[in-house]
Amino acid sequence: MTVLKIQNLSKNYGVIRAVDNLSLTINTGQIFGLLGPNGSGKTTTLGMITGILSSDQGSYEWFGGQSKHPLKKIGTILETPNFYPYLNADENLEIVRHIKGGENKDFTDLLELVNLKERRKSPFASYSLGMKQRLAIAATLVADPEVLIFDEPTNGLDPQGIADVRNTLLKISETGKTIILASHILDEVEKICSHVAIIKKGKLLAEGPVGSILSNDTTIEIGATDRNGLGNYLNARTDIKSISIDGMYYNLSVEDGFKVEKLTEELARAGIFVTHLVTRKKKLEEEFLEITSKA
Amino acid sequence: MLNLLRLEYKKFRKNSVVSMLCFFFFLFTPAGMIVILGLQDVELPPPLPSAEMYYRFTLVWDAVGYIGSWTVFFFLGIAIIYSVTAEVRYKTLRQSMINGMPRTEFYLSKFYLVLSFSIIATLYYALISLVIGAFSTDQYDLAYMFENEWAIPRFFIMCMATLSFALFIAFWVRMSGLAIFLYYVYVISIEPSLRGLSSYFLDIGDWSKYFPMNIIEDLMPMPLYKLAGYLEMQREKADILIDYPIAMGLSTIFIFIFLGLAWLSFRKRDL
Ligand SMILES: Nc1ncnc2c1ncn2[C@@H]1O[C@H](COP(=O)(O)OP(=O)(O)OP(=O)(O)O)[C@@H](O)[C@H]1O
Ligand SMILES: [Mg+2]
Repeated sequence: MTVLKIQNLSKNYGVIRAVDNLSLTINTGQIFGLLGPNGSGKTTTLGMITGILSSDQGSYEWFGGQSKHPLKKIGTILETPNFYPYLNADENLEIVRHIKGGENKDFTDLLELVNLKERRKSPFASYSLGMKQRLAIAATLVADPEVLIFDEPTNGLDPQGIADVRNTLLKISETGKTIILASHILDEVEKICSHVAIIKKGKLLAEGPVGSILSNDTTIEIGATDRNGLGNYLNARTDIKSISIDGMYYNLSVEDGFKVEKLTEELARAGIFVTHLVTRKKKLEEEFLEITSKA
Repeated sequence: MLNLLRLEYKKFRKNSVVSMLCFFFFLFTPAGMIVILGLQDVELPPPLPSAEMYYRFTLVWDAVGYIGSWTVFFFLGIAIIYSVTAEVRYKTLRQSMINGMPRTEFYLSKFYLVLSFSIIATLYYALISLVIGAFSTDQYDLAYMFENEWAIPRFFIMCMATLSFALFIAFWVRMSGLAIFLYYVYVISIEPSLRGLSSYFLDIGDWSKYFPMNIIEDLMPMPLYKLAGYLEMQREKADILIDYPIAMGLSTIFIFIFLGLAWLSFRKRDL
């Protein structure tokens, strides 16, 4: 089933085109990553589909237009956690529940999930950044929504905080809810998402299941004492798709079935002795940089 | 309606600013009567009645009403502004929309706040006037007690108009400090200056009294004006007041204008 259909959505801020003719479809159960560098229009897009920003062109539709108050079935964090600073966790969640119309007034399970049970009676203003973010995650789950939207949920957190939030997101993603996750952190999207759309300057550059966006290419990191010799040799080969220099080493992009042992053997025969060699699957990060740098 | 009011209650019952402002309103409305007592001795020439008059029926309605018009303006008006601008600052306004609250409902919840503040303030006004009057007047009957030229509905309209104006400023300006500043300065100095300038340059004479805040103030005028008229000592001064029925009618129109402008400022704006 289609959860969200965005058609040709655009928004300008003066001369800046923040979102440019964006079309996307998100289906039930997908964990959908919205990936793009800073200022690419992720928050603006989410702002429009949650009704707080007006669009200049295009349209969007939640749940096939079947729901009268679709946003009540969606839990969202946009940019920052927004709560009444003088109210505690329970009171803030109760306000969210009041708006969304859920039945359950006991938030113990939710607060346990985000590890805030001990501090539930302290005012929001006294929370650390990580705790605020975790409360915001708990708030998205109030009234058992079908869809969750997270905009940069790990922004500004320390490594421990990032790990906590990611673990919580992974737990939530196992419940089968549809999730939309906007992030510029590729690792995050790669670890959590099933689908991804890459945007830059408001334009959609690529979209699809994470596996299909991830090509089958392999990356080889290689170094030798004779760096120039190595470079000349590699440049002369035709079975290497791209070569870049990363500090001391060369990064090679090659087809999946490439035989690394043959390469080293031939290099040795040419008198170039390899001192460093790492092979790995190409990561979304490199894919992302490749796609966005072409645009 | 009750559902939205309950939500407002959950939001602000623990808020120290709103509680403090409400407390001040309840405290200073009756306490202001003491101030009037002090001022009267100084300002009034001998033929005027003693200050105790203001504690007795029927003048007590005018005296408490006048003080009430200022306590409503200062404390309840600022509480209304704060109830909107605090939600802008904490971004809970934005979050409420994101959580699925329609804009109409958010607006209505603030309108209901204006309405309930007005009802409570009016009841409190009637109670204070009756209690002070009953203790200070030697002889009275029920009819005399309530001889007040529609003071209760007048007070209610005054509250609605003042608080609707506050609501409009809040939705329009959205920043706490600036909104409160503008609200205050408009009443204290912008409108009086405009009135002065317009009557000076435009030769509109008497019409300058039909500026909105002046009309609203004339619902609950300074009792001195009335006394002065009554004693025919300052006839002209008494004439600058707008008749109650006209002031009530025009203020009601302004209530709708302010509420409409508040809605227009909020309806489509990016949050
Ligand atoms: N209120 C605004 N006024 C003017 N320009 C804005 C406004 N909000 C966003 N923009 C611009 O729109 C573009 C997209 O911004 P947006 O916040 O949507 O990006 P983002 O992808 O969420 O970035 P980030 O990763 O930094 O959060 C940027 O160029 C930004 O400067
Ligand atoms: Mg953003």
